[in-house]
Amino acid sequence: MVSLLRNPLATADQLASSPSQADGIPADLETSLRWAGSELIQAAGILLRLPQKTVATAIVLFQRFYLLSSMRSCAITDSCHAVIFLSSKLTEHPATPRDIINVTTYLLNTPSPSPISPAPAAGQGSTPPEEHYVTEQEYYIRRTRLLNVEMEILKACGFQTHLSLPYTLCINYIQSLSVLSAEVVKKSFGYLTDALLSPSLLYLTHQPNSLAVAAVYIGARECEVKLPAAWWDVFDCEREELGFLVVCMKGVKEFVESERKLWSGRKPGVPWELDDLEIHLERRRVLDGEAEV
Amino acid sequence: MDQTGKRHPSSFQQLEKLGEGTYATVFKGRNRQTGELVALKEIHLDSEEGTPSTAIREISLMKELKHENIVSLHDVIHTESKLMLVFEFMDRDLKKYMDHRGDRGALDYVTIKSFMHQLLQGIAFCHDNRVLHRDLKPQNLLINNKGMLKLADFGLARAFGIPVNTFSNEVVTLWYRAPDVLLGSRTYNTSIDIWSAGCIMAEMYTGRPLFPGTTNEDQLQKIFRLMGTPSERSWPGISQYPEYRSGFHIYATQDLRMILPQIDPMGLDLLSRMLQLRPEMRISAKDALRHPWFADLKQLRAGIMQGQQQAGAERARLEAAARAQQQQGMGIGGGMGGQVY
Repeated sequence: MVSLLRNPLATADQLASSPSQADGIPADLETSLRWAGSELIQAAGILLRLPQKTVATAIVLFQRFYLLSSMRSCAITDSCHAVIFLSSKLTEHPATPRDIINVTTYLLNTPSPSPISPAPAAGQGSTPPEEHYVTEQEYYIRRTRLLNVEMEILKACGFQTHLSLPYTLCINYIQSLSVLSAEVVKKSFGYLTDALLSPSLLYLTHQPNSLAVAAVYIGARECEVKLPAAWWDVFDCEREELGFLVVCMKGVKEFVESERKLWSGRKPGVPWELDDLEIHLERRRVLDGEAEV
Repeated sequence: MDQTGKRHPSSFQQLEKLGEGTYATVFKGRNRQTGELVALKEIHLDSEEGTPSTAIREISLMKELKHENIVSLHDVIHTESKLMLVFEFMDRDLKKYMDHRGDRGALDYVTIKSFMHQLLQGIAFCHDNRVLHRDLKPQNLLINNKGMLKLADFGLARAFGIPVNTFSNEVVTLWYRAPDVLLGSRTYNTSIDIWSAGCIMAEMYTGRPLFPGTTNEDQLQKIFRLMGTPSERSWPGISQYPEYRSGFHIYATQDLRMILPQIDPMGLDLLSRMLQLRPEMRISAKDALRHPWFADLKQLRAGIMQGQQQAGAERARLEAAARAQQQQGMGIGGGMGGQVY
């Protein structure tokens, strides 16, 4: 049954056995790469003028994909390109491979407010265009990889690309609780978007109705709007699940800040490409060896 | 997690070409191991578009929609340059069936009723599962030699939700496109498939498309010429549609019997409930299946089972009965005169 309001969720086994970790990637690095990829998708989505549902769908597809595939077999940039492309088609806001590749190359090579971009070099204004120019040859290589990864993603998830996002539900819940205000909606939406970056993979482990309930709960609280007792029962969310989600959603900010601090200005930075990743892993092996000695 | 892509294209022997789909070529094929006939839908992967969104949608929906009136997807095979969908084999589509079997395209009463029932069952199942087909037309309805009808080509279908205001309005082949879609509605719902079903029902009676429009405007005009031009009074809110023009030519509502003299009153009642201009007035697939027109379907089918020779006589008798029934119904409001086409 094609269910509108339910998503396929990760099984306990899938969550316990990450293909990347089985492939020798430390857990903290996997978490960092999931964060970095999601930030790249979010920033690229803004530059590509894609609606938030397209961006959110892309991030969830990205998170799902690395539940089924190792980061050592598919570079983060390539999977980010592929999920943006795929999600732009699924949500009927098509973006071309060329635009997607141009935008991510720009983001990863020139200073911008996005945390995944390099910090501006001291005493330098804007970077010269050569720094973020994609040559035809490079474009063709990247596009071929994008299309291959798109097919990998579709195969991995068995073409089950259906995804319901909690944003609309969130509005419905706020309306049916008769507390509709721009402020509550804005706060709640903010938490739903934060939750996309959660290291607990909330969109892969919880149904959209529960995510919406948790976001409304925090949103209303922060706006000091009073809601009836145990209102979450009506929307099929248990108190225990709600509590867990609220803690996770509120924790995203701290998590993201620590990741940003960890990676900003770091050289070499986030290992976006497969060879960067191998070098990074090798360095870690050496450092771990030294630590043991 | 999934069997997708494990089988090789060479497991199927490719036979003759069956047709060109909206985004693919379809061949008849035979499973080399089992000898089973299949339809192979080959989708070429373009280097700018990648895997077409229509293919992704079709596969993800078809994997979920398992029903006897929906063509079943057996397998998805993919190679570097193409994607191959393996469907159950059906003998022909409704368009070709009407051309071959019908009387100048028109079908007999029993076949129409049986096909309409199966069509509505397929639609009801889709709608129950929150899927809009969005592109129902005779070419997308497949018929096998057992007289079964199945919905195919879900390339434009999509799961619908609340609210559904973001669909592109560039869907559904013009001739079967609902007036609200033609008027630019982007919040359409299940009722658009019902309009298409109504157009198909009329076409089975006459053998000709009911509204063969050439452009969006011409399509609307052809609809209004028969159904009457709607106004703010008959359809509150119509002037808010993006494609609404205050200068639409004003037509009076015609009697559907003028162009469908062979239809019985009960069938006409069902048809007019499907062909409502206002989407919210259109009957649902579920209610349509409960319509009294279908009450004698079992009997009619049993009649066919009695054997080929008897069937002809039976059909003639039933058709005569239907004609008699229809003539009784002609009493009120008939004979508007004037040419509809």
